[in-house]
Amino acid sequence: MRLILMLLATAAVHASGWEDREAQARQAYLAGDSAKALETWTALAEERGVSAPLLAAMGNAEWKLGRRGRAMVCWERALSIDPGDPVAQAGVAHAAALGGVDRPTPTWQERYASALAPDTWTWLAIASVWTLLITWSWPRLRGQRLRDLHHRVLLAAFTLLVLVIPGAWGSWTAGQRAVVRVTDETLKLTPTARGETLGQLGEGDVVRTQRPLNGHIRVELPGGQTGWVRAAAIEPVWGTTPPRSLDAPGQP
Amino acid sequence: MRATLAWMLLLFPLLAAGGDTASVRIVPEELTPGQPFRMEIAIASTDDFPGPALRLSSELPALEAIPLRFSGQRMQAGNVTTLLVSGVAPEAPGAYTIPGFTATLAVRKVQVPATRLTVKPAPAGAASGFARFSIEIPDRIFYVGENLTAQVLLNPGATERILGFYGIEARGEGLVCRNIGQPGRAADAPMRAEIEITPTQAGALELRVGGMALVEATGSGGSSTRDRPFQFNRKLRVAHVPERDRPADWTGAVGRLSSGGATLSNQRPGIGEPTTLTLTIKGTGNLDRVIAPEVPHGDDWDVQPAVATGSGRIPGQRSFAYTLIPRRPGNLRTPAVRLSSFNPETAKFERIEFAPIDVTVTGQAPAKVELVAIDPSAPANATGQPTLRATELAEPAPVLGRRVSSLPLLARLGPIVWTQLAAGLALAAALAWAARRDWLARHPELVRRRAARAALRSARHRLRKAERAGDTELHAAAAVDALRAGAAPLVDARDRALTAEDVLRAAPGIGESEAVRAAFRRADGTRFGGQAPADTLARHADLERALAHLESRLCD
Repeated sequence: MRLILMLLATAAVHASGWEDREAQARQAYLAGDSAKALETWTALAEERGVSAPLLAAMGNAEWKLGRRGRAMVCWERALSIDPGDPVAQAGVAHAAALGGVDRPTPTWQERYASALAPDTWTWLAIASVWTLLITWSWPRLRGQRLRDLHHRVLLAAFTLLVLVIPGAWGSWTAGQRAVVRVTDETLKLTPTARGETLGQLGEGDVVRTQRPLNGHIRVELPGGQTGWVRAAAIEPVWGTTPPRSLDAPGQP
Repeated sequence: MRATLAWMLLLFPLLAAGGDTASVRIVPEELTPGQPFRMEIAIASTDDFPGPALRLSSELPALEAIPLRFSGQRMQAGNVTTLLVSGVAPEAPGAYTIPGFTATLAVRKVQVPATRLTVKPAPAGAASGFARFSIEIPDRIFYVGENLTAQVLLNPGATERILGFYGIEARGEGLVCRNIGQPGRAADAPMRAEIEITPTQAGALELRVGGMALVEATGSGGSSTRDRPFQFNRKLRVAHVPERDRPADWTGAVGRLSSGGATLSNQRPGIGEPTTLTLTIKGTGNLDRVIAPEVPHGDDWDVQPAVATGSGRIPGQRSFAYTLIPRRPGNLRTPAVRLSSFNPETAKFERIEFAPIDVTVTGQAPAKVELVAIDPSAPANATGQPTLRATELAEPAPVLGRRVSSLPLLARLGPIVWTQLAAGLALAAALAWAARRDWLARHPELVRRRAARAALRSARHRLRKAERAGDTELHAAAAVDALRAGAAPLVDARDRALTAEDVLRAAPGIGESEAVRAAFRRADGTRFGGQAPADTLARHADLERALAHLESRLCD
């Protein structure tokens, strides 16, 4: 009992410390000190783990520090955790409209999928499939015939599955995107270092990713153009960490 | 063969024509420790003149113990040219070797052979007053991007006075070197030459510094000036600025930097009146590459991008000027500005902060301050209102939401797919079992035949064992059990109730009727008081055939 109380007290002290630091970071952000706010939020993310509001707030601070790529990664990750996060939604809209960031237009499945978190869609799909299978097979295993109740459950599970499939598909395609992290990245015809240039990508642009090959990834631009970019130049939107550091070893 | 010899005789003069012979002579031949010498490389050509030496300074071996310096070239008659190289003998007596090298002349390259050098101990009582040169580099790990200073010290000797230095060259792969020159010094201090070095890559980098000093020998026979080369080779350990604890606002400043203060051009501006905020950073480090810290727009100030002012005018100092425009009247404070630098001596990041300055802004505020961005290039619409393109960023709410520690399930489909497949296979197996169970329930004769077949095989096994053991009683009993078990499903009767005639009726094609009857007589004869028991062992083969026939009927 004493041990449990001690553990609870330790957890409470930790929680209050986190809340104090979070409040300080938010005050610094509101006072215009984005760097300090970002430092505190980054430390919180390392100690406590990320959450959708934390990533969204970090995205705001990164954007104010002029780091478009990192900001877009933060916002996109926040939306992949909680598609309804208002701060991340506003950030992405702001970047697309004012910041000149190109982002693929969401498909109707992706818009539909934004109603729930990706994991919720996945669990719903698994639950509906297994409900269908078990409801259909259980009477057979027991040597009985399907009764009225079984038919009702089958109908409900099938309806749920039909509703869930577009959401799960939309979540999947929304996750197959990445943010360009470098200032000027070349879209190439072939996945080689000297591949023919097809166009340019800007930092913060969001692209749909396809297959990897030879250190490159085939991507589709918002306009529908496809080509290859260096894998190191982009960062996937799915993740549970702040954006990775792009500081090349040769550049302090 | 004769033609080949003729060709060789014709080609021999041509092949021999391009030959250059290089010979090296050390003057004087007898050297004492630290004594200057001259290396004369005589190149005799059998063909045309090879031309002047182009880059001998960089081709000479870089030996710290025997510094060498190209000092001139002498042309002589008969296509002979002599390259003159100044050198200094090592400090310790012994035999030394100057490695061979390739000298690039205007027309062709010439291979210079290795040369041996013998340094004898100085005679007792002889003065050893040559000038001494050394290099000072901090003994620590350097960091990519920092500016470090190496100093070459030129110390005079008892018999040599330093008049000056020239031709200092510093180079190394992964190093950017800049010759600064001679810093100010006290009258009695040794002469110094400073070199600024910036590593551009990590690792163990080799620095080579060479140059010439002009010395005046002050011996008993008067004074004379001469050139004295020096050479230093050093390994620098260079690392990247660590990523651990790196602040978000660090933009590449490396050095011992501090705030030199902030000044404001006008502390009582009117609203909308530009005023200049000047921030000064001072210290030692890569000041040239410090990027102006960002001062974000706020509710109180519009901030124009920084301009570097007075760059390079004052050593160890850099200033940035920001134009601030107050947006509202009242007692305001300029934005707090800060940046981070990495101190290579402590290997830690340090923060440089500029405190806000109190400002009194006079005038009247405008009716409304628009915080919504407007696209200046967008055409005005019919109502004359500017086109708004987007809202501002939303203010972050409390961020301690639900923690997420793993990727979405869709991002790690492998385990999920395999789990679902395994569960699906288990369900399919259960359904297959249930289907088979139901089918057998609809065909009970199959179950009975299968059981009869198993019983027949078991009895045949006992039959063979009894045959091998020569036990007639057991042999007959096993044969009867097998016959009854095999015939029972064919007539839909219980096996215990069957007689030999029943078995023969159930399987008309059994053929071995006498053997069957004999087995029944032997097994049941005593029980029912029948005829004398027969020896079934002698009819074993017949019984086996009969049982095989029965088993084949059960498999139909």
